[in-house]
Amino acid sequence: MKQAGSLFLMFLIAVGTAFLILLLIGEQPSTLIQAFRYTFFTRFGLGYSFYYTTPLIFTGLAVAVCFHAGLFNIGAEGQLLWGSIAVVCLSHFFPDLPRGFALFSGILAAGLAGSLWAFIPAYFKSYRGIHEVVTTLLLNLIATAWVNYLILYTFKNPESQAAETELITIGYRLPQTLFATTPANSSFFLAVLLTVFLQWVLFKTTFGFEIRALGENARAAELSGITRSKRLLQAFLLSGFLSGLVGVNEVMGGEYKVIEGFSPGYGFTGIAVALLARNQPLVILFTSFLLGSLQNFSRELEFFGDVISKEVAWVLQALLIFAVGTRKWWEKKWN
Amino acid sequence: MELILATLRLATPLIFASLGGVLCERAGIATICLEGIMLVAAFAAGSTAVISGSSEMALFIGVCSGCFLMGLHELLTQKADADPVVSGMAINILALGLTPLLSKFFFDSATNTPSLPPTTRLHPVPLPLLGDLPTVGILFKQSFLIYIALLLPFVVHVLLKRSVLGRRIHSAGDGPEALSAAGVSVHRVRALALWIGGWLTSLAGVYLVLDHTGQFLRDMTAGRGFIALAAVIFGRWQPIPVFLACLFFGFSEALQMVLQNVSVGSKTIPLQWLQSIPYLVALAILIFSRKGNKEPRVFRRRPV
Amino acid sequence: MIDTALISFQDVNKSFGVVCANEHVSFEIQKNSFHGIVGENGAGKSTIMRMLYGMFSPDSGHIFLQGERIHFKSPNEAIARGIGMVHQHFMLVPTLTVWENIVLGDERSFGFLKKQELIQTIDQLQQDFGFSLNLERIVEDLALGEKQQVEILKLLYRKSDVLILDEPTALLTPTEAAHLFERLKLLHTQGKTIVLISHKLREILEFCERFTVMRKGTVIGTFETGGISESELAQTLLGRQPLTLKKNVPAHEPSPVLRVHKVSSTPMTGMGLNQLSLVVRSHEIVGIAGIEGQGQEELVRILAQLHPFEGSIEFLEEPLNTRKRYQNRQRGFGIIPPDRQEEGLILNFSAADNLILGHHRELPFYSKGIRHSQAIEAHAQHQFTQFEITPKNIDLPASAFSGGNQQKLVISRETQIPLRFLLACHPTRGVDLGAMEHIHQHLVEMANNGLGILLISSDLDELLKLSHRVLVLREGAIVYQEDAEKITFSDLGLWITGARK
Repeated sequence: MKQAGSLFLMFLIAVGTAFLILLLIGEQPSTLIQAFRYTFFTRFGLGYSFYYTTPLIFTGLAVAVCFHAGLFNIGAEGQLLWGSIAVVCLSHFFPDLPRGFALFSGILAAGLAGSLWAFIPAYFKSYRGIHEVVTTLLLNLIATAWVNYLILYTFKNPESQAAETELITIGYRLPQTLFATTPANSSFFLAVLLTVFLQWVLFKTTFGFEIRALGENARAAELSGITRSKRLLQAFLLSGFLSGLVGVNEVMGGEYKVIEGFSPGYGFTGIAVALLARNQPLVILFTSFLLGSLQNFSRELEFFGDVISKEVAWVLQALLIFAVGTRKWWEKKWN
Repeated sequence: MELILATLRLATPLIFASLGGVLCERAGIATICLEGIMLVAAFAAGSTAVISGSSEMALFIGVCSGCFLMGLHELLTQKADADPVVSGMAINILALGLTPLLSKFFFDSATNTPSLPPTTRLHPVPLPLLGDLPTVGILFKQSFLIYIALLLPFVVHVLLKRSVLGRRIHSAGDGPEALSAAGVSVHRVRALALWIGGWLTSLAGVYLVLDHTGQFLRDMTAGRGFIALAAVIFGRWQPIPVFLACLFFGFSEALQMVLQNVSVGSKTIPLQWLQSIPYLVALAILIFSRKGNKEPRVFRRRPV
Repeated sequence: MIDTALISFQDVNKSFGVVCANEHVSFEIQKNSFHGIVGENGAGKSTIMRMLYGMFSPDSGHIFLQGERIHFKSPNEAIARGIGMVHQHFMLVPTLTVWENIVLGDERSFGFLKKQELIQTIDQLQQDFGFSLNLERIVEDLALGEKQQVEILKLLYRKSDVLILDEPTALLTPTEAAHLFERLKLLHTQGKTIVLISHKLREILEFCERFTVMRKGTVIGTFETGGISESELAQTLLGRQPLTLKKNVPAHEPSPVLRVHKVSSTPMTGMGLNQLSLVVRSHEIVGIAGIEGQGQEELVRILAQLHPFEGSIEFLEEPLNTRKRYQNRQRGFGIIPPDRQEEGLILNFSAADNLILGHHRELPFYSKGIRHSQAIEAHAQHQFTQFEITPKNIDLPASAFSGGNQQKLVISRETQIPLRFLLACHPTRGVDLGAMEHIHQHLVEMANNGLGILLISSDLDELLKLSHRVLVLREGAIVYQEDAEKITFSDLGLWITGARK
């Protein structure tokens, strides 16, 4: 309960700080209020909020799983790109799969693509001890370049000038939901399901126990018989799978294609989501909504106002991470 | 010759940033935030140049703002006991957000600042005699930042090995308990290392704008901060090997540019593949380097 | 007597949270004396000295130096007043040279180090006080005894008049310890005040003029040496008679549980192993003695199946499969690691979770990968009762327990299933005398019931008391072995240092 309370407090502080900063920079209060209303109190706005929340649930879970194992997966950004393009690729080569089968294999392809891309840093960390922060960051940059190539050339949309791929066939598209005018879609339910599943896995299974043991004290864990390399690899691959699933939200449910640069930094924001939630999956549901709607809010702001650009969301995110990262210090101050 | 020139010019920001990283990490603090600091310094220098028209001001403000950001990292990791990797990433995110924001605020465009007036850009400083040599002479007609970048690794090397501060920085990274038992404030030594490191890293950003591009473009650092970090790890936190690693990375980037104009048969190599070459090289180097046991001891518990 | 006393403590109190480390501590140290502070682990000896040294402040009470009330806020201040301390765990920078370590913090140079001058100064000190170290060597290459010399040189360089040594012989061989005391005696005659903190009664009685006895944070009294015998001292320390152990001679024909044959390996933190062979049989305790760094760390890692090696290791007459570490544990291979906090426990996990580590894939704790919380809790309660672990809260994180209780957690976890072989590394390091006795009794009982134990310890008394056979490890191989009853303490010391081959 205390956690929920402090989280809500953080939400308020986030919104409050946002308002303050924006006012300082010279945005009109009326614009702010208008944007706020649009984000939370219209069907359109709310839909977009959910659309932004779902990928954050995926990346947040991905990062959290790795954090529990003592790993830093900063490569979610690249992993989700591969997950997204994988769906298009599948649709391109197998356009006429029966519906149920198509949906299932689409999801699987997205996840596996993410896993595969995560395999590289995972292997080198688990078996060669090469630190994953730099490898994942570099792989993000490589992924951006290569996936862009695929978007612009291999799978280019023949009917449009924009930098995007062809559309996926009907069989692969997720059914619509309440927010029909927005890209929000039923992958949200998949995300919620996975959240509950991961909460169970982390705290009620052997796998979760061993992962957490390794994250807390790898030496003691190893001495008690846990195989470090195997478990770390598994955790990383699971993490990659989760990141890849962003493709389900974006391609199978949202736009039905991959647009160049569609990710407003889901991978990095996922880090904030996980940190704010202290890596607890169930709490991630809330922090992802917090940051997802923040994303939406800043977008609306840019639309309505003329001083601010949507990057203000980044700044706020950074501030939130600062606040959470120094949690120990705050706790000491308050006691 | 063109290639050598390009290598030097591309390696320079890497040299500054990685040497900054060497100092900080040698003192025991991981610096993932090199990228963010470079970006902020670049932006600050670029905007100041446009607004003030003076390259000295631009240099000064650029370096100050980078240092300021590094100071933030220092505050968070030392005083508030935050995890350096988390703080570093947060700073990168902050930089990514702050720069377009301020760019839009000052110049109405989130993607780039106006081009710098020619007076503010750094001029080539020809070295006497050497600059007049045929062919090779062009190497000695570069901006002074490049000269500094080439001498810096040796300066840092001597600093770390022979000076009081250098030895204390080493101790902060390899045996902070010993340093503190000897009566020295580990906190102060690390703070100093971070400030100097921040100063150096900012120079990388400043160079990018004032000399290399002449304009601030959104996200112009393009991962160079991370390549610098790879250089630090590959060079095992020692100035001279790190310097060589930077040269190598500069070379691969220069090569990539040359290859853009090369045709294989009738097709040109796709831009995106070429763009990824420097990162691939960095990755390959990381994978094939043996870490050895030269890393700062403090990292044994929590690496990078 | 306050006028002649150099250092005086008056009614000093200090608590760390709920733990009371020092209570009403009052005593004096005379100038130019060789003063001992003796007590079991956890008695508060280090704490009171650290407050003098400025590492933290007392909650109440006063400390006087030469009649003047002092309150040092950092070691710097203490050093400036001539007080120096050598800690149990050396405070040296491993990658710097000897001379760089000595001058660290007081370099007497501006900007660049005045290497020549500094080395001259240190060499002079070496001459004056009988040291002969190579100043250019990198500290991590030095032997433990040499590292300690560097620590003492540091104090002399800083012109300390009071030298406080905290458990200095904990990691030294008898020969190195003898050298140390020779030096200390020399320093004493040259006018220095020596304060020796130790739990080794023999040392205190042999070298100190007088000593202060502490127990559970309070001072029992200050005595002149010569007025008390070792056993009387032991009784004062414990507050009761020490328990006696009963070691059995194996009744049935013992069978080998562990066979190590010509094992070699690369070095890790110490020396690699070099064709090492040994056998441990059921019903027996085999002790391994040796200076630190002769391969113990490697041996432990190899037996834990975490380090590659050449040669063969057989457990219960079958080759040990290093890929099936968890399964080996289930077959009765137990390990008490040398460092309980870094290797034995997961400090942030609850005590209950720690108690199932290493057996966590088995019923009743987990089946088919799914956790059975009730069974885990019941098990923890049971272990807490059986081993008298306090405080009796199984959900507390392991970090909340004292050293002795933490060790009990580790031991209770390892011995919860029937073991055939136990590797026990420093099982009573940093544990108070009472808990130490209980642990010793437990180990001997298990051996009497059929367990084969390989005991690695730097405490020669413990080795001789518990072992049936003692092996000496030097330079990665076993150079000597003998039945425990037939070896003397000094013999063992000679074998360890290589004085005998």
